[in-house]
Amino acid sequence: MICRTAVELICRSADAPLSAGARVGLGVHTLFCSPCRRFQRQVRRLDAACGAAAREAPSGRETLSAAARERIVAALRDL
Amino acid sequence: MSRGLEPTDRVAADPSGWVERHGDYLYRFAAAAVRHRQAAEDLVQETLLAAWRGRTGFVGEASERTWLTAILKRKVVDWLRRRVRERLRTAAQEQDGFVTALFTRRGEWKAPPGRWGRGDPVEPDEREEFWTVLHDCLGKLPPRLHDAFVLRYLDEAAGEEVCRELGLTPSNLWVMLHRARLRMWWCLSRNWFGEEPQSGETVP
Repeated sequence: MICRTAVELICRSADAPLSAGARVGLGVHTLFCSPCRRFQRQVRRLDAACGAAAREAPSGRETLSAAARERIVAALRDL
Repeated sequence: MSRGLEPTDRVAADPSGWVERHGDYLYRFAAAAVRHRQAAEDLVQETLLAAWRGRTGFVGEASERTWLTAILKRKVVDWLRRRVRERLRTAAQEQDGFVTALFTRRGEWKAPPGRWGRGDPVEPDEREEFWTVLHDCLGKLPPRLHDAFVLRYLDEAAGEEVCRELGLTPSNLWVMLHRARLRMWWCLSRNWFGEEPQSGETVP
């Protein structure tokens, strides 16, 4: 297995389980390839961080526009 | 995780108070996911209207903000699914310059991944800074990749189920997620975890 393929499988395994064959192939590759092993660890951390980020709004100064605020308040009153 | 303010056992009598207390938060949540001001504002409005109509469903186990965010999240997911379905109907380009630039023609790393010397952020200030960097990296993703990637993390239905719902072949979605994830990995390597891949190779 070449690194490019291993990297594809590592990324995919963050989204869905790999087939048995792919899992074994990747396991053998990462056993001997330390860059891909490192990449695998980093992708796991990335995955955890993205999952956590999706649960919260980013902090920042962006706000609802005054017009939208008025519109929403009016719509709520009309209910 | 939520920064909900008041764990409350009753819904505020005045729904316009929600706009005051949670409007900006909900807006930022929606805007980060859909990257479209008007759409984000509409989603916040729909959320608050739906929440008000369904207020008896609020049992007070969660904070008001957590409850509202959960409603918004479902609406954002529906919105993103529609857009991803439209955008991914056309097949992905054969090659992605970003990905090919990471590897040699023989498929080896051009520059192996650098060490991530920095641990996950722990202190509140550091966490804040980290989320900013992460959201900046998300913001730099090309639109198609961004939508697919954000949907992946917002949507509870993972993988093949998402494909079924979107009417996509899995491979099309995998390709998008793969490209997005590599860009996120690269961006966070550079801007947070500290070290770029080990040689001076440049990637577009």
